[in-house]
Amino acid sequence: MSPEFDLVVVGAGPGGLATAATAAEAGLKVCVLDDNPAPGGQIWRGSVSKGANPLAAEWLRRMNRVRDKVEVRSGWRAVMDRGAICGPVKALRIENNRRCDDIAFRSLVLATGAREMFLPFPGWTLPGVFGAGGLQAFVKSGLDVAGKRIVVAGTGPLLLAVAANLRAAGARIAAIAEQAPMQHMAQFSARLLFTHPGKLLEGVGYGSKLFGVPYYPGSWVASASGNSHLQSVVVASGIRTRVIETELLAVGFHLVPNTELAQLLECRLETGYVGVDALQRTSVENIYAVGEITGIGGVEKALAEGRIAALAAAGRTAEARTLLSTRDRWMRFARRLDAAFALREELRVLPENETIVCRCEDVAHKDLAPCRSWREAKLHTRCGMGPCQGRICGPATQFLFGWAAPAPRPPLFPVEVSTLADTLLHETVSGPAVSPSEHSAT
Amino acid sequence: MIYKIVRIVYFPVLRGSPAVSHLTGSAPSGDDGERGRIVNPTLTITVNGKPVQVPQGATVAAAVLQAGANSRTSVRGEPRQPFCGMGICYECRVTIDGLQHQRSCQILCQAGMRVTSAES
Repeated sequence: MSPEFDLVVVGAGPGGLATAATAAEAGLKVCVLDDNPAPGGQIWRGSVSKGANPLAAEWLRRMNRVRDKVEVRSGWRAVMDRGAICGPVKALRIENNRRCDDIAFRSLVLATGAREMFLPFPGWTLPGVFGAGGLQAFVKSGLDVAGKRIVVAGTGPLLLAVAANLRAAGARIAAIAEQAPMQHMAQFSARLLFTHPGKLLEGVGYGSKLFGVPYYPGSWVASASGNSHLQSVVVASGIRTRVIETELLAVGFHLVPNTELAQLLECRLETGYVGVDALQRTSVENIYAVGEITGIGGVEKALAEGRIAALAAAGRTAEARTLLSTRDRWMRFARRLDAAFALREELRVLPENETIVCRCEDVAHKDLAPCRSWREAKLHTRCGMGPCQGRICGPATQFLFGWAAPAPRPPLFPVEVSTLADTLLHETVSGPAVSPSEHSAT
Repeated sequence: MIYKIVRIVYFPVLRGSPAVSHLTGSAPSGDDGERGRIVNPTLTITVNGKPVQVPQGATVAAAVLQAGANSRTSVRGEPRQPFCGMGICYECRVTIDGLQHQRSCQILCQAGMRVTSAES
């Protein structure tokens, strides 16, 4: 068992770092767990250590000033709830590539972020097809795409950022296909002009770096083909179809919140996001949620929420309340994003009979179509039973078939047998951990 | 050009500062043992026996892609490459120094690492 912390933060993206730095500044002893090799999350990947992004640099400075109060554990993921171990002190079982550990805390802040939403279409499993944020992550992590021909497709503000960054890395962007209709995006942009002009400027900035790149609004990749590697994609708009030759495809359909750990800890969800009150408190005592898991709204929202949660956990609620208007402003941005980039019906009919929906277990669309629920699909086809545990095909089947979201079960990720064996041994020998109050009752 | 100069001058300084190693440290794949020294900004690993040169800080998934290799063969025998880039989809699983089923997108390259994956 690791020493006890006042506050454990799960996720070292902007929300998690803002929480950790603010909490440590308020005097709390903090530990940050993160699955990635280095802090920064997806959006600040690689920029925390390099200090390239000014916001990332600011929070890095703040983290450095309190470094004796914050332990950052990169490469660790929370896999199971260990429950209350002593009064208000609870614990999580965590694992990295070498070993497992239990970590005890008084308060927990979930800053688990979001993953990309992926939708199946013929050819989406071919080598050369990547997530949009996925390809950007590979490039930030050392992949050279100079001179490569790339189509960027899907939906959401991320597409422009990805295309601009890939172009800056020397790629030739063959086309950008955004499924949202031009009209939706025009309305969204017009509103931003009054409410969040900075965000509009950010979009214009990316646009200016993409001068001359064909941009197709209201269009989507209907299929991808190639022998052993991607060679071309078909971009459809309902009115016309274009065949575009390309070496790589970066495709993502906006983001899905990583609510699995929150669900495992029995935090209530509201319309797919973790429900929180004004001080970022979830429905479970001493557990807070910040960032994309409370609504997909980006860095500014995550930073405001992280600061609020940290101050609330430190008992400085009056100070936390001064940040509420900033947070609410970004929450409105989150709601507008969801509406502007809502998925169109045509995407539901893209998969053909043989199109793989569950990539882990290679389950085809035709085998899922007769099923009436996620549970039935699991029992009959093994859909969602591979190592990703339904994180990719779960949201896709929700969209394609209208099935309810799969409920996560422990362990949250595939783990070493020893991680489980240790749990079983502990519980067989000493019985399940109980709190002192339960002891006195018996 | 200016970027390169800034990077080469400041890279070792940043890597060596305790403030930053506090943040970048404790990665699962361990230290490179070269912090604080002026180092060559690239390193070499092997993917299916072939040497691949990648920048310092590159992930194994990036090296697999750089080598033009696939990561795994699916249940039905299809070739797959790393896909989501953020440790979620498990398409990037490879064998690293004999250890199977490692998510290559979450592990940094270390000089001399031996990676075995599905060849393309």
